[in-house]
Amino acid sequence: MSETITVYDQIEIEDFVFDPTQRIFTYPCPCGDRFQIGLDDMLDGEDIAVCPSCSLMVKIIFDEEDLAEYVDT
Amino acid sequence: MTYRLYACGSNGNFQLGLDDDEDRRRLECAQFQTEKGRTVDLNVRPKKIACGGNHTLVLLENGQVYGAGSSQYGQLACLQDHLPVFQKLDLPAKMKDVVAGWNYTVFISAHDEVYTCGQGFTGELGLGKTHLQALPTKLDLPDNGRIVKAESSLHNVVIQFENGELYGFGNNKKGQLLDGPKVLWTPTRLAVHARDFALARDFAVFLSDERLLLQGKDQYKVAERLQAVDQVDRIWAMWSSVHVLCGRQLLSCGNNSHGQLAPATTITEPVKIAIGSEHGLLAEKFRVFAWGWGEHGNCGQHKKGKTGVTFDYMNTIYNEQHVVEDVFAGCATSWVVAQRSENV
Repeated sequence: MSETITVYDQIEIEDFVFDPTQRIFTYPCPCGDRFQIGLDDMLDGEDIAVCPSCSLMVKIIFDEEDLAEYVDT
Repeated sequence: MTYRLYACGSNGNFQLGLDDDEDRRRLECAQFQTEKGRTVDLNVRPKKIACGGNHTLVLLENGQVYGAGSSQYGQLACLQDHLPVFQKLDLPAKMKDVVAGWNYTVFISAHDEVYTCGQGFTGELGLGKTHLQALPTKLDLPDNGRIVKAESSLHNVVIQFENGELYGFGNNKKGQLLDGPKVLWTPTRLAVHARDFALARDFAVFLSDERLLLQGKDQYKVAERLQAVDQVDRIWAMWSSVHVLCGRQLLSCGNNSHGQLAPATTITEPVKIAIGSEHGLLAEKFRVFAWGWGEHGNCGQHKKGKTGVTFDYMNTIYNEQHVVEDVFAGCATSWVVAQRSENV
């Protein structure tokens, strides 16, 4: 039986680090890796950042207008 | 008397000091590189284990510090990318305390000097707007006498002097350290006085005049629950919850997405408690239990009938003939220091 998907926590966009080269936002995961979400995915309405090393995920809190400053970087 | 250090959990950057990067679901003895070769037996008592995101420091009673795991940003005060087993770090002084955060380390010397190294984008190094410092560098601090306590979260640090004053540096985006700027680039005197304090990711809890005071973001309504708590002995914080020892009860409040709030338990003898990023450990004389988020093996293997990454019960991870000296917990890592008498 698969485990129910639980969002572990909610994190504001100001807390994420933006990498303009890869166009992704990252934030520390309690496992030691980093949660990731792509800018383009967020522009498409996605708001869940996932960790490549574990099952934890966080909801990123942002308004659509918050993204404007990152689009042109 | 000799000591062994048992570890399990997340190990993607060799932070368990086991000479590989595989996670462990069972405790295994950490390895130490000494002048005489590799060993798992320590002749000096490990006084503290401090854990960062992917690095681990072991402070021995004689003031030496050993490190294992990632040093990609100089967080182990060395130029190697990582240390696969524990190695003695080359430090400017004998240390009496060490705390660690995501990619940084803070050393407190026997003479109350504070040194930091590693990486921090929001003032974690306390050295001004420096993001990276591969060698331990001394902080500017007022002459307030002895340092009696230091705590860290993944992105900020608070130091307590014997005169009761608290100095903090690092991330203050939620106002968790003081009502002020979002980043404290250098050690800054906090307005609050406290006997004990604990730093979560987005909030901090201070035991001030025997009342628990929360500062920062409070999405889990922790402050309200803490108001009812009195007779506090000690407080700790995971990244998103607080744990309070009141006599023989361990009370938890905050995020419980993965069983982080301690299961109801009766504490019958003096215990040691360790609180990691999103899991906890409770140790009796010969046994250690783990609860919370255990996806990387940091809460051991489930008992029969249980599955998944949540351990919403006290799971036994150590049950041996050797006395448990102490326990520590990091980012999905668990640590047990066990005594070994010479004759066993």
